[in-house]
Amino acid sequence: MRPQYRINGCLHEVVPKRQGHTRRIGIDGRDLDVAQVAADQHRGTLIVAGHRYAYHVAQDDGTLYIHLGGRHFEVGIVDEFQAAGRHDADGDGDLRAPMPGVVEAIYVAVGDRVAAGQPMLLIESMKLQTEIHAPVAGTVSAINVEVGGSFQRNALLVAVAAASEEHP
Amino acid sequence: MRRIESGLNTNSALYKRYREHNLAMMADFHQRQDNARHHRPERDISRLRNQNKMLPRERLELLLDPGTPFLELSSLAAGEAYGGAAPGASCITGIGVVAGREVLINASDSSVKGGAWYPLTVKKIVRALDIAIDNRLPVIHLCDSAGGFLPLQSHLFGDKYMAGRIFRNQSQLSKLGCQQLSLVFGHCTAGGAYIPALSDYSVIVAGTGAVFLGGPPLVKAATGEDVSVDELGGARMHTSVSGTCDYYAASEREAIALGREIVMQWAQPPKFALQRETPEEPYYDPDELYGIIPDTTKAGFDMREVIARMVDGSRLAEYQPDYGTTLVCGFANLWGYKVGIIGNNGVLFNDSSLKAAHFMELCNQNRVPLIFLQNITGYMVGKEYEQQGITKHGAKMIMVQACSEVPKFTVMTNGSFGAGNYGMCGRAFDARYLFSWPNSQISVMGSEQAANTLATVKIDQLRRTGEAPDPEQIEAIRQAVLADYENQTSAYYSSSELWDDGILDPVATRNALGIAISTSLNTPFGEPRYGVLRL
Amino acid sequence: MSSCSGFAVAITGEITMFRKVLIANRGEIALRVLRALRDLQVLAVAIYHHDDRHSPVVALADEAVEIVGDSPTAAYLDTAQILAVCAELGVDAVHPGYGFLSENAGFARALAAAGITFIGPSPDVIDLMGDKITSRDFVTSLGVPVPPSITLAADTPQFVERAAELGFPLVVKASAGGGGKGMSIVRGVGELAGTLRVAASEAQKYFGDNRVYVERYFASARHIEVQVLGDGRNVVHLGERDCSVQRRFQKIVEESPAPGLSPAKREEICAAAVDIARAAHYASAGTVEFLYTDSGEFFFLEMNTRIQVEHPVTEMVTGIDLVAAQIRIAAGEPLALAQSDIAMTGHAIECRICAEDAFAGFLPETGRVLYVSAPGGDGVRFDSGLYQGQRVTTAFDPMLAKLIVHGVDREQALARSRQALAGLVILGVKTNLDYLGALLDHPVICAGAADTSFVGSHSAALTVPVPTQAQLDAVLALALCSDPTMKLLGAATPDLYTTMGHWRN
Repeated sequence: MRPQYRINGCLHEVVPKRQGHTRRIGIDGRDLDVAQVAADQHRGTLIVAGHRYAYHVAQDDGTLYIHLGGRHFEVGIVDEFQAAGRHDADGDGDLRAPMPGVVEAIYVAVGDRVAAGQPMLLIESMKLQTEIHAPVAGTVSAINVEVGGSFQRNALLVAVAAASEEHP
Repeated sequence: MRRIESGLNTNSALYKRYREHNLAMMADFHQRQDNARHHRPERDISRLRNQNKMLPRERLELLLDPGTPFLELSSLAAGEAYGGAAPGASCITGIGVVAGREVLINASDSSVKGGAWYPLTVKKIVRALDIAIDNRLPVIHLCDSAGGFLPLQSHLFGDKYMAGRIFRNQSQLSKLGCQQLSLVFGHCTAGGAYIPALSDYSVIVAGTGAVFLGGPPLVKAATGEDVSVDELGGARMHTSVSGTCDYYAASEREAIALGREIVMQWAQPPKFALQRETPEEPYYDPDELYGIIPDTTKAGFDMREVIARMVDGSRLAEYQPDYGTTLVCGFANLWGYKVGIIGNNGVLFNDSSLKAAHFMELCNQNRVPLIFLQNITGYMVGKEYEQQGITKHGAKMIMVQACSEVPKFTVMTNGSFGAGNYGMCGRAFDARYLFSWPNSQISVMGSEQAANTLATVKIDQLRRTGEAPDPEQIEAIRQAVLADYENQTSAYYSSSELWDDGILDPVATRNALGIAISTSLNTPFGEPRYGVLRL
Repeated sequence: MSSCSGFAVAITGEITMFRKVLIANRGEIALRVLRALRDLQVLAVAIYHHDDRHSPVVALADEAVEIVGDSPTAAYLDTAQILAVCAELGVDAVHPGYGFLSENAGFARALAAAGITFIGPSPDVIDLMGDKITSRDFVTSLGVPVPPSITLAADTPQFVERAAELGFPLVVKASAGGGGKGMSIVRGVGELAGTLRVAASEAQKYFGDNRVYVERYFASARHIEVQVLGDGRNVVHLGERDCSVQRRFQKIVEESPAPGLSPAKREEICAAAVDIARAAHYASAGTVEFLYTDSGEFFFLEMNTRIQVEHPVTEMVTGIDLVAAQIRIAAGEPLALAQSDIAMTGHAIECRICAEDAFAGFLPETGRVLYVSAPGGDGVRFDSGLYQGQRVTTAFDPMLAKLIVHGVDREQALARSRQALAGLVILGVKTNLDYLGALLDHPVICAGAADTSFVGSHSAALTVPVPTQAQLDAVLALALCSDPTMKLLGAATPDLYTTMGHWRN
């Protein structure tokens, strides 16, 4: 098992190597010695390769929220199933929500042929309405939302089977 | 506890000579081990890749917890057999940590002849499961085997400890309450199908995993039915129709993730509370072992120097230090665990035999495991000793040792010849683990002696038929017998035949024994009880 | 927060302070109003939607009543329900905070009809200033300049032609809009028709009034607003605030005094604001917003007849508690301050902390507040209603809290702000904290030269700062130490194995 963490879209492998007076860990193949002095479950001091850092950390679901060196970081914990590629890979025609919101209107139905750029949905978030357009030409293969329904960021709203994937 | 006083002179010519010899020997050992583990014909690797399979050792590294050790057993099994066609006996066994739990791993090595079972493969798997039973360890099977190696089927099928014993062991292990998980990465055919079937949990990989008593060609031949591998025993069928396997995995990585999630649910047995302190590195440098071990089994060495480079803080509470001095024994800590150490410091005499027997009784009374460090050419022979009862004293030593209720661990540090092997807990005496050093040798008697005896027999035979050999021919016969004999006394031969659980670099022994002791604590140590001691 | 001295006031015999006031709002402003009520020793009633039940104001208020609605926002807009609560609890007055019903004349009238004081200006004044068209006309009649615009009905035939005459870019505004909402920019005549349609439809939906008007859009001007206080007869101003740092018409950073504004100009703008408030017989706190162009012209934009989000900035440079002042004025007290009594000391900067991905188009973020640690220090004020476990959803505005910092001069205020931002920890939801840090480091901001186009045109320069390798290593090391699965594994594994580590024979 290889623990992996995602920061700003980049994956990093961080493995424990040995526990002792300090902890030896490997970050992307480099060995470092780490010591942690925790004041409580959220705060403490971390000593990494001789440098001291005051930190704050909190965890929710698969994300670690960290404040270190005067700035905030969001670190995604890659679980083994994700790493195994359990989730279906996104096809070109997948429309994901750019932000959380509510569906105002749906302009297409499953089976409709759409052109690239054709408006598919009207969504609303923070009193802003945005039209979502088909990324590729093809056929609408799935609509996962309904009018009035709400969604989170990155939710798969509509799937379009790209024209080249269609069977003759 | 007092520290052993080392008298080692690291500047002596002898030290340097031994060191040079042993470093070369270790380099050779590591090379052999490396070859056995990794050296594969390109086509065998490509075949696996084309089947979308990972290499078995890649699977293992993903399965095991990061930052934990893996004690591989019998890495050089079958090294001297089958013309070298089956390195490691086409399987990988060992003790590792998965989801925080100690487990025994039994993995097919499909990069060797598709993971086919040679006679020694069967022996290695049976031995691994014996270890699991003795130590009450859960087992994870990584199944990916082409099945029995047919040309040698008569050596792997019919007898008591052959293939059937694997499934008998799995059943007994389950009866003892030890969990078993199978990850099916390839085919499990005929008997092999029983491995996942007898496991409590099984995960099967889509597309490559298959479980069936008979594969499509056999089915076609037997009944004329036409059926594909997947239809007959593939992942979808077994996880949704027959219920033979529990989890469908779309990929090998997913299978491993599922396996780890399953192990995460397992209850851990309570450990026997063996006396334990904070572990401490040996005071003396284990690296110096290379200069202590002689370059011949004829030369001796002070076993205390070896003990000093293996136990915590190099401390030993030696028992009867002035009596029976050809045997060293005492209490020490190893990785914090209290242990009783018995090591040879010469030939076994009456007094050393009695001392050993008494000390073993003390360890049983004290509920402390026994570690045997063998370097024994034999018991003393001769009229004086016989009259003083050396045979019955040796028998007492064997009786106490064989009836011990505490876990035993044996390390062949140099020579293991004749009856000395028995008293000092040789293979037949159920040590939980038995390891050899690369320099060690084992046989019923010393090679020179044996070679001379055998050569005499051969020469007499020739003389009876009228072909009296000349001195040159005699020498040639002697040399040939000697060479043959030496080959069969080497650690590589005995490890190949699975007379041990693996060859260890001497400096690795401390960690190996630490892990071994940890795994041996899953049942309480019994009340001391022995058969009749001829007093 | 640093305490603001109240009025030194002589309370005449007839004027009595309210006994009980209901806070018709939520979040940080509800807490702010509560603090003022405490200072004035007035009983406070909090109303809260189920989603806000753990909010600090609920526990701190003297009484708290749950309100319901189809959505959380709908509950806080439910006039009838709030009136019922007031009646049941014998409430004397209601403070509406900002947003929600704060500029709803109908609500103010309904309260008046029930004999309850609305803490704000009269409903007529709310109507006057709430309608962008009538307010512009009113202000023009006083001789205060307004941006060139047309206020014909959008479907008038000459509309498009007249609009094009104004010159592009133009901004389409909802007449009933405010707070930066209901505005869209049109860059060319081709977009005009479509934008007018969408704007009218949005205006109808969000403000209940589909009237729109079109103004010339000044892309690079400064947003200067003046804080006023009036008691119906007298009006004073408490200086100006510069709120030019905005994105999509939403303010991000506000400061007082406005950097680079000459004393003469300051005098002129503030006097204009006072004139407008006095002419309207304004009674409460209010803000007059102006556009200040780089050619030194200023134009009236709108007047906000409520306490504003950025009021703490003025409080910190004047030492005057504006919310308490609102409450006193509403209770009938005359202004005790003359203009000459008001002095501005030092410089204050406010940063609005929002749940958004500021480096990626300010898209709103959701999450749960897992941990908050507010910075301390001289001149640092943190106005926040945040509590541990708070769910940040799109049901409410993304602004989570405000950090207001005071210094003897702008440089010190900036330095203290940077330090305070670096020490403010909010975990569990992405915020614009790091962005604010980058903002306050930018040379244009440091020079006090930002205008309303700054954020839009400098988005490339305001990027995610790249962490150093050492920082990244530290974060990853901490991630491993904090990963609950790895911690569980470590606890479950016998220490022999973790100490031996990754060993192979």
